[in-house]
Amino acid sequence: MQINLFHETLYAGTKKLFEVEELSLEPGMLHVLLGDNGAGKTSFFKAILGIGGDFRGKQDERWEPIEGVYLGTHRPQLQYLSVEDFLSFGATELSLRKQGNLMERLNCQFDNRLSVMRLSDGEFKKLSIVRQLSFDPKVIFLDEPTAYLDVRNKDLLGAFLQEESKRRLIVLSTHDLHFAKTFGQTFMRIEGGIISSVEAP
Amino acid sequence: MRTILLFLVLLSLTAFSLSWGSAGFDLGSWLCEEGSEFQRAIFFNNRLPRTLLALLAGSGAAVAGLLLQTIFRNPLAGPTTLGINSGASLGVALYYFLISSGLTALTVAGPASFAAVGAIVFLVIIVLFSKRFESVYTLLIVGLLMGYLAYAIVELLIQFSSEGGIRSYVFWGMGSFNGGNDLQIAALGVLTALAVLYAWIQREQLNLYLLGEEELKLRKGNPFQLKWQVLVLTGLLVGIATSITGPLAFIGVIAPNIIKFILGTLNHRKLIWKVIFLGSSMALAADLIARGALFDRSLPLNAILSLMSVPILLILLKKPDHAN
Repeated sequence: MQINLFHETLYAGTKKLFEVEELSLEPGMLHVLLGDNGAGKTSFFKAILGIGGDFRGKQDERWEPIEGVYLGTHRPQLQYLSVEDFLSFGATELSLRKQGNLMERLNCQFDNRLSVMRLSDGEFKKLSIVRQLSFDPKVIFLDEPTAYLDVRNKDLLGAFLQEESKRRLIVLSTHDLHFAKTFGQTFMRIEGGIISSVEAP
Repeated sequence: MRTILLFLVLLSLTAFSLSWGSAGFDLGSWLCEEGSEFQRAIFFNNRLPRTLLALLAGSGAAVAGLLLQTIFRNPLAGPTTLGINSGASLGVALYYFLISSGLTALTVAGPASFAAVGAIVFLVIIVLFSKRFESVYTLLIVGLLMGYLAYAIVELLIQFSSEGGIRSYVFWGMGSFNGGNDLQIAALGVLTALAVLYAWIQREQLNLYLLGEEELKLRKGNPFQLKWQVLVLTGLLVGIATSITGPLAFIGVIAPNIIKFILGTLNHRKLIWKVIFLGSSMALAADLIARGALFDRSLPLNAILSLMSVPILLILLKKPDHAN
């Protein structure tokens, strides 16, 4: 699965979200989206996937969303939501079988009955990545996956995502320039509503 | 196993509710031998419809509570805390006011329709604020405000109602499973069955909705549709049930929370039947106490339900996790 955007402008209602001159994203490399707070990184991901609004392309055509998954920064505040619930909601037998291996690789094993509210933010982040990847998506957008992770876990995640990017298209956003430089392979920057390819930060 | 246990508790309470009463005849011997005409009348006109109504209203409130807690992603959402019961009460008060005022042509639809409209109108108002409702306290405050609003309007309506109308409204407000004709019970039965069926069919969608609307959209679900289907269904269910039994306090909030607490899960597949069995059992147990099974005198149903539920509600509120 590839994403090719050429002279594309995306609107949410009448509001212009962003313009892309030329952008080509394909599996095999870990793509990193950079940008300041409020630049529109999350909106870009959601717009591409067609979630969180009614998006339109140039000449008022309805935007044809790309099929994939999105891992955001939202954490559900539900007291009785167990680890088992979180991993099994929406899962198929196949995705459930994949979770064990993914959890082992990301070093996140928890008691299934534990409430997800008892997990630290970093632990929850890793569990969320396991959950989304177990669906075996062709495209995955990760919104700040390194947030809350310690250095050791960032390194583990970086290597893990590089490995996974061989099988699927992975685009992540981060404010951690060291992480971006170490593990990222192509880079984009969003600034003033314009997305463009850039050199490594 | 737990489902079977809860079902057995419900079965025992149902049998007790059918056999216990002030008329004092034993159901077992009555079923084996030929009962008198008087006993037949008591069983078929009083105990059976009363037990049936408690079962339906209890399970209806419980499943409505479970669905609302999912849609608002809030453990304390329910017909009472959201003020939906207050909307239904306002509808019923308006019905009695119109009767008192001689505007009977407007009341042909019956109190159930007024209660259902009241419940749905209040639900819609609440939904307009629902973005802020993932905080427990905001929800409770808005529910409380809606309750006060309904109470204030009801007070005004009462000032202009006849004595008969006021008396009917006050008795209705105490709650009872003693009212309701065959048609009303059948209507409640259909709506409760629909709500249970809906919850069971949509269990996976409801699970995903809990994780966020985006999760549901990514899996080809429609959160907007799901939300409105739940709101209309629960509004109708609570409205009809409230018009027959009076506003039932807290069953809808408490029954799902007890089961969630015991099982430690939010998986609807595991929750639905247990919540329904517990809600019905709570309604039957409260009704038995109200009928004098425990204290040898009749007591108001809602007072018993509140005494059963409020301590549990306070314990749930005390848990810091609920503060979000």
